[in-house]
Amino acid sequence: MPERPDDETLPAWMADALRRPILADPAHAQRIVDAVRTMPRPRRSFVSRRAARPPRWATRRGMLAPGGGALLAAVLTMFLAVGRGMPGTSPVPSLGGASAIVLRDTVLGDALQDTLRLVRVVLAAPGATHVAVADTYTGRDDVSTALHRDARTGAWSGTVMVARDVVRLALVVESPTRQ
Amino acid sequence: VSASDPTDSTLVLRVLDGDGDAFGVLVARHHARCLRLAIHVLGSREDAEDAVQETFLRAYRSLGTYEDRDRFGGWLARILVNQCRTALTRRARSAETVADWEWAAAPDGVTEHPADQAALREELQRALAALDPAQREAVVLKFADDMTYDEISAVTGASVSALKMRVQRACRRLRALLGESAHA
Repeated sequence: MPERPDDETLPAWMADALRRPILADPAHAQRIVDAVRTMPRPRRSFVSRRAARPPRWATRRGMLAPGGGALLAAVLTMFLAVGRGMPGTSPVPSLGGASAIVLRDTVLGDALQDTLRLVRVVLAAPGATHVAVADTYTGRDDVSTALHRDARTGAWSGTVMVARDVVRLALVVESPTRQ
Repeated sequence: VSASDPTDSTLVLRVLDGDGDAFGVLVARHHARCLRLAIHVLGSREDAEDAVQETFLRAYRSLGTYEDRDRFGGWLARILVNQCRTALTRRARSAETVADWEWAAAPDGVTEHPADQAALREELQRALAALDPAQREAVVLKFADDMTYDEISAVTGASVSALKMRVQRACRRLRALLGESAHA
């Protein structure tokens, strides 16, 4: 049988009794203060404070500051320029540029689910035979989202969902040209 | 606490900067509340005072890890709940407690016979003692401290759904034990 909200009520006198202030002995509070005075001064925990500070590129949950967007694009470009160095792949030939644009947060029903973002990825690589975005959680090449080639422009594009905190994407580019 | 008084976070920073008196202000601000929660959870003034003292000493030692985004009262309550759990574990399961504490004053000038107050204290204590420790902890945090379920969850580590279930079962048990009409 399901619980009802009114199951969460106490008899009124008991709720009042629980909230009522209790006579505290001032000497007890003083003993605590006296004990503390004998203890060494607590030290700041810099590590945890630094870890809790939001990165400068972040504005609020689910959003990137303009600088954050530029950082995302820059890292993406760097990954492309470095290449993957795996058999069958090579530094990207004819790289005309890459972009990654945050389209919006993912929405489920009426509630905004800003843990994932939709990102549009575009890569100009007319000579490539296959382009994919590596899995953002593991970076594994074998778990990836393939981009589609525009036959007219030679640009590869696709929309991927990435975790809110991800600021870099790795692309796997395959080309018939060997290193 | 008036608007001109320093916030808890400000006082914490002062303590970390070497102002020894600032922690005394924090103790004065939170001592009565902590004692009330501990007394209702433990049922004994002596045990409660020990738990509260250890709570403040641990809080002082760990003050460097306190984050501004936390509410100091909630952070303190988390330490207090752990101390109360430790005290309950140490205490013999069968140990009975007597209501060796008193309320500060009758609310809003109501005159109250000492015998009536003593009877009320005994009845409250007996009722809370009838609950298992996890239920009692949830009931005290919800009703004595007006915490939301999310806040209780942060303090106790239990999920919101588990806490709701505990409170509902505790309330049903208490109503059955006490009878709604007895003090209506």
